[in-house]
Amino acid sequence: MIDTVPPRRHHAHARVSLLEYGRFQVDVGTAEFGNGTTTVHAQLVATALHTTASQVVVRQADTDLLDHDTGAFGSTGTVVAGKASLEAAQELAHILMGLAAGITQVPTMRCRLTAEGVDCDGTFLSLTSLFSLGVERDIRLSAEGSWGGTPRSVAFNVHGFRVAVNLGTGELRILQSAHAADAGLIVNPMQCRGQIEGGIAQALGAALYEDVRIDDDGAVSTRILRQYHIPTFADVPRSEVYFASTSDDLGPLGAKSMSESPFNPVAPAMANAIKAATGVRFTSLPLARDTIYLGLKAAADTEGATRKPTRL
Amino acid sequence: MKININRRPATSDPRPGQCLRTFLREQENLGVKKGCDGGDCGACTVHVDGVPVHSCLYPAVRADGREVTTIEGLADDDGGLHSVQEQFLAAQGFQCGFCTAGMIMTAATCTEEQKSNLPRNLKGNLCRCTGYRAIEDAVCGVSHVTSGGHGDNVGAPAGRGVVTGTAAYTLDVPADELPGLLHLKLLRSPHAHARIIAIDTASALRVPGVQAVFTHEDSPDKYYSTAQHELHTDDPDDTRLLDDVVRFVGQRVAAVVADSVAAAEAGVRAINVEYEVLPFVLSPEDAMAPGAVLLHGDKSHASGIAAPHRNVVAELHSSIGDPDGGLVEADFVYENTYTTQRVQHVALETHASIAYFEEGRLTIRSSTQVPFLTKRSLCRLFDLPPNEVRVVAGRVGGGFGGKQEMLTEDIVALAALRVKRPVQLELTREEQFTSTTTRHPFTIGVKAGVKRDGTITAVVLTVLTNTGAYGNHAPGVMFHGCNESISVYKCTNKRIDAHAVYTNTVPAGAFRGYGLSQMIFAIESAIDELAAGIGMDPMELRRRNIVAKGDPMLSMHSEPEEDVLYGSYGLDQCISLVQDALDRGRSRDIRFGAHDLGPGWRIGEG
Repeated sequence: MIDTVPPRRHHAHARVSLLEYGRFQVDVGTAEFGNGTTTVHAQLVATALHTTASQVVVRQADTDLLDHDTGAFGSTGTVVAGKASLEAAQELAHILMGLAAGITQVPTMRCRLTAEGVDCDGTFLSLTSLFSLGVERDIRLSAEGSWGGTPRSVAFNVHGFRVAVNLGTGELRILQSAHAADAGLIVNPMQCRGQIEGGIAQALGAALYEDVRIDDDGAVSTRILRQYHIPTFADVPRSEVYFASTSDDLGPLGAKSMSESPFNPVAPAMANAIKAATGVRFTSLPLARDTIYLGLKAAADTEGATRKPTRL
Repeated sequence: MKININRRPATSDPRPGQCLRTFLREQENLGVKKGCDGGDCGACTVHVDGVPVHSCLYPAVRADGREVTTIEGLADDDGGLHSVQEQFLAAQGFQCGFCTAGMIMTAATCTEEQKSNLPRNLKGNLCRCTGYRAIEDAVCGVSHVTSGGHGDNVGAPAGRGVVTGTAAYTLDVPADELPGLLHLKLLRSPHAHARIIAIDTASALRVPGVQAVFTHEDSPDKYYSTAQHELHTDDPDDTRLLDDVVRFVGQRVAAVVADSVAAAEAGVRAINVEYEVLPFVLSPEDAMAPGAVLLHGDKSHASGIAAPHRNVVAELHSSIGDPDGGLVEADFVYENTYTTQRVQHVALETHASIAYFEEGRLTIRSSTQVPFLTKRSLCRLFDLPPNEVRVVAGRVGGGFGGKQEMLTEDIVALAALRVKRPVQLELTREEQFTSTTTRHPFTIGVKAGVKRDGTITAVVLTVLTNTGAYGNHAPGVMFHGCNESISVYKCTNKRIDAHAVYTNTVPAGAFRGYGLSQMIFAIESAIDELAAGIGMDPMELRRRNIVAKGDPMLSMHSEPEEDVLYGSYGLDQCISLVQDALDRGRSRDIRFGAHDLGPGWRIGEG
């Protein structure tokens, strides 16, 4: 379980504007580093403005764009910054409908925002013409949104492994890796799955072999990637990824955070699977092959016989 | 010399000893990335006469008379994409994308036979973001992308830039946009703990190309934290830009600014430092022992350090309900101590930033997760008004929490403000390991009780975290780790005694999970042991004890956090989904005979 936002406030501001050729621009503070929030912003804004994400241009991570943004950490890219951009887009939708309604003298209730423009009970005003009308009338077709990161919700992850351990050598094989996540109503399933798979892979490295070692003089002795192995293609099993079917009352359009938390259940699931296979409880990470070998040997030595597996 | 790059002759010859990677970047092929400069990661992969090579290891001179192809030249000159680039777009075979150019260059040379053994044939290309499934799908031509809005598999807007090598990461700025750019390199401490008696910079300043050298005497006399939070008071002010005391091997001692990286490195080698070597302490247990050498004993409580005289940066002592009574009431009590290690983020793009001036205003382009907070921190550090600093990030090559810190921006800002020219600092992979941050190692004592009916009666935790030489993120990681890891269990008898402790080692910082992965390792291992103690299935024990929607989530306070709500609840579903998947997998293995791996192998689930 993880709270969807860190405590003591996390702020985001966003601005959504209509551009000259009928596209939209969203300004956000969050940086893009593979977390996928850029796509999420485009999708949330597109949904609020009844268009597709390809019509939304995202500008980001520049202190000149907006007043403030706490930043992309604590799993906040979607649930805090996304909420700000969604609010801005919803406000801009109101402004566009209001402008169209005013020009056509059709009540706003009978106006409908579409991907091309506003349909005012049969009279159609394209986004391009609305942009020109905005300029003519000196109306800023731009809206701002913000979110202060409270109240917060909770997201959940569960991981399961089936592993095989060679009692003679300590070799570990992952036979099955399954992960379930409760990320609310998912904005982009492909991308969210990628976040989860990446979290599992990084956590497998930490669970099984990654170790920054310090020598007796206090210096880091694992100084290059050849001494500090991170998971390669060959090291990572294909995980089954499942999503709980929920929709969050607090997140943007039902979504919750899902960037840090897939990491967390991996190591204990692995340790518990190894215990189930061998009867030996390993209490120190990483669970490298030599650690498993020595642990099994020590257990066998104390008990005088190889333990029976607890489950086959 | 005649080197062809992407079907055109190079505009200059490489320098003696230059590797192909830096030569190609100087030739404006900025799609060629640096991940390690050691031939390990493959981010710099290019083709030489059609053969993929790690350009960081390949001497540029050996490309004489050969055709070099980079990601920018992989496709034909007609503006279209190479089929492998199309496939990476269709499968979104990337996240941060920093490894993607190299990955595509290798994959583009794979024969059908090689594609059937990607674990072997992609071993020279590392990715830290995706877990490789998306990359496998891309290489094998699986398509996932659709258009649309909410709930659809929309591709990343930057996708085309990523697969063509044109997406601009931090240092992908054409040379003509930064005339007069200088390079900064750092002299780092060889000692775990030492006082700097004297620094002689004269010979460094005589190195051709060296423009300036900065030491603690040039540093603002201010303490801050490299950690970046909405409230800067969340972290202790224990760090100086350049200090006269060094507290870990690898800490900055001096900075050299020069016309080239090589000149800056020569300058660093020419600095003479006289140290008074001090006693040091490496383990948190030793650091808390009476009489231990103090790392920040000179600082007061006002710095935000909980107990500078005990090396304790933060501590937590809480008790809710009746933990001792709960243990007495239990039919089975489990007690053990768990430890977790230091882990590095290994974002493929190392920390880097460039300080330059835009109409006189200091601008920092940085590989950061927190541009706005970094701007605030720079303003505080250098006494600058907000309108005189701008911080921007290009596309960032991976973060994982490691870039929720100010580790390069402060020193390039200092240098640029002093020399009035643009200054760039790019950390090496080795510096990432020795001198940035890691995950906090935890030692976790767990004592927990359970009744025969599966009711957990008490959880008692003793937690010791090693924050290294500085306390960036130490309080946050400790508190966060101790919160959701146990508030997910209904049991109302909980006690925590936790300390975050300084040692003379590389600082720990923010890292994906922020303390939770360490604590959850201990707690969830203990839950399985409790289940074993009463002969219950461990997932059944979890089902009986996890919070249900509406239950108070309690860890260190007897009242739940006011602003944490069940906006939705799917933990029960998650448990069922994983259990069902394991059930299916087990039956599948048995059906196909895959459960019998031969003598000596034992299978287990967890």
